[in-house]
Amino acid sequence: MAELEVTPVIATRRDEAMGFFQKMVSKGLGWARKYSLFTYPFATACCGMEYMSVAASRYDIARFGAEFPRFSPRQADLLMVVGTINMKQAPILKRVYEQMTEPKWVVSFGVCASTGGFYDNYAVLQGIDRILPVDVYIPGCPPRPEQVLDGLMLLQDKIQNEHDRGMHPLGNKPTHRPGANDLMRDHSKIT
Amino acid sequence: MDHPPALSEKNDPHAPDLRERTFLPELLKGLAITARHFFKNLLGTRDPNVHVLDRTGDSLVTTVQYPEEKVEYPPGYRGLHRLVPRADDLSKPRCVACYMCATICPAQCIYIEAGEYEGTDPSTASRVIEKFPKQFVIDELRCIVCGLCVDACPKDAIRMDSGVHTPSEYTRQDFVYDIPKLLRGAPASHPSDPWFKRGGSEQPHHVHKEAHTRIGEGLVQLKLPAGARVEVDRTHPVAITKFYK
Repeated sequence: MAELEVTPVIATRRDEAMGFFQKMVSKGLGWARKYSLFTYPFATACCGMEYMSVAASRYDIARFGAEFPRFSPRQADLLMVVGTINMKQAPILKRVYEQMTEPKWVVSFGVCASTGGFYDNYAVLQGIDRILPVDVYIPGCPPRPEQVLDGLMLLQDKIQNEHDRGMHPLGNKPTHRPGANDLMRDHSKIT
Repeated sequence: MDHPPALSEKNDPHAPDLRERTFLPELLKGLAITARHFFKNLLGTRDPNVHVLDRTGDSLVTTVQYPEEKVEYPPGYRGLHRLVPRADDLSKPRCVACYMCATICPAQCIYIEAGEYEGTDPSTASRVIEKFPKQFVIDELRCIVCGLCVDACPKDAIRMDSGVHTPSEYTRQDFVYDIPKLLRGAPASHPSDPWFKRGGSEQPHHVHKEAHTRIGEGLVQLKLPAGARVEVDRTHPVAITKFYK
């Protein structure tokens, strides 16, 4: 039994070829996806002003292909959580995330969404990563547009390199990620 | 009671005319505005409010091509924290672990663990610095960039003058900044700093001279003219010093 576990997997030439093509497809998909992010801005607080600043002409978010906010989660693939999420808002946010179709990513915009900021009280969710898997955290209160664009570029790198992290080439997220939480576990039950 | 006549297309003064109902001229007007802005941006605008660093061409377009071009931050911009190094030893922070910043921080994002210098340490024997931070950790993802820690610091040891913003990261752990990450930048020094006291020609009278001299301890001998004497009368509840010439 122990020997079986340490036996290396023998890759046949067919497996290698399949892996090569899967990697090529993944790379192409990653390239296509990272320049066509459709944002769902879940703006609840003052960070929303800064989101508008990023979207406006001065720091044109359209240069990164993410200019088109969709106000329906079913058409979006990037959930931007912009602002304080309190306990009453949390189930709504989680439901919005569940309504989004794969592949989907989450950006936590500003310290309130990321950690609760200085609202360390019973009413405020101490970071949306308690209910959602967050891909990129953007600090700042509110963040400068440069910080948001930094975060967006980090996310683009992540999307481009997803084939290196054991992603399925057709873009489904793996059933388990480090840092993923109960939501992801529930999700893996559904699919 | 007379009702006003019902509005119809005949008697309504605000009824749209044919030109407005077809929408076509208005549509063309809007397209003309868009096209005008397009050509203005294409051929170079005359926007006087363009302050962008590292712009290569002579374009005056408002949009900042961020990763390549940058906007200059204002001089008072509160950026990433830094711990100011000591002027005599750049590997040590000026911080004396007084917990002022951690106390005033509304987000409670500063964590300090104080350590004590050994009294026998020759590098600190003649100094009045007693404490140093063993650990100084800032959770930058909780920091709300209010700058109260900078105001509260009595030693000018924490500053937000680095002029850079906190970078975005993939995990929350990456935002925990400790001393090796925070201790950087130019040292600051003030005339009252203890390491300036050491360089004088005469030794300090007492190791704790400046910081907290106890009453009657380490008194400085007065330099008196020849023949003069000082008498201290300790019989009174408050000692009276008499000066005879």
